[in-house]
Amino acid sequence: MKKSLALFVIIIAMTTTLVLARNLPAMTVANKLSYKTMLQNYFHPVLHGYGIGFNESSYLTAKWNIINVRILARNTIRQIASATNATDWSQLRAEIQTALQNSGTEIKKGRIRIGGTDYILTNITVSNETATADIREMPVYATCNQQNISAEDCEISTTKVGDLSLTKKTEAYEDNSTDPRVWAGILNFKNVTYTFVTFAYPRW
Amino acid sequence: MISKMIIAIVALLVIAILAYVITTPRNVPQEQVTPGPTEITEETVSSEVSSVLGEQYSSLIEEELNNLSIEQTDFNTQTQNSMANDLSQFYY
Repeated sequence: MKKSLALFVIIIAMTTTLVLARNLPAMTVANKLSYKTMLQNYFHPVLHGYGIGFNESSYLTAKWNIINVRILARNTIRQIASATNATDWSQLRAEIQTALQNSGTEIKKGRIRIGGTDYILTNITVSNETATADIREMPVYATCNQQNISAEDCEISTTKVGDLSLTKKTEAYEDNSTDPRVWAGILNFKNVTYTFVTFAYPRW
Repeated sequence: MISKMIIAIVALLVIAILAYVITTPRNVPQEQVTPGPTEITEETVSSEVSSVLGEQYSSLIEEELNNLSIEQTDFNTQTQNSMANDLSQFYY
């Protein structure tokens, strides 16, 4: 009885494995690179720059970069992956790309490097005159992915270390040029407030 | 006697004419300069930053900004690669 039960469990496990692995071969480094390249096609630079924060007793330097990214909800990606008849990763990638194009959401993502350390920018708002963002510790995306946490939830789960609020102070000679403008405002970082003055290069 | 006086007067006239010619400024036409558009150069932008920040930070700022500008392109490339690496994990 026990033997037949064990045999039954083994057969079920093997069948499940075969069904799950029915179509797609193991993912290669090249496949991953292709996904990365596909995603990068939907990155659009918004504003980037570099500047200095200072107060009466100290200063820091920072480089920052804000881009528009088109993303898909995690559930949508799963549905596509489970419903696909693709036998190759390139086919699945094409299906995801179509969904990204048709029903993707565009959001702003950003990074800031302060004193040589990278942080993420979240809750980003950018207009022609102002920009605001929260500064958070970098998340471990791989861990979030393993725990079925979306990239966005992953980002806001990390410790907030500061925020940024900027206003444009000067114009370039030509309104629509990508020449740098001077922006200035407040940078709060690790419980210290700095006056932050930065060159900003618009890319809209 | 009269001829000596005439010579003296002529000599004085010649000296006066020479003095006038030498000392009078010549009327050279001046080149017309039309104000052109002000280009946004790094120098003007730096001075704008300095005016926002105040005098005491000017030299420090210029030095730091120069360093930062050199690395900015690399930084943008690195961050966009990093974002693509991080986000692509969620697509397979």
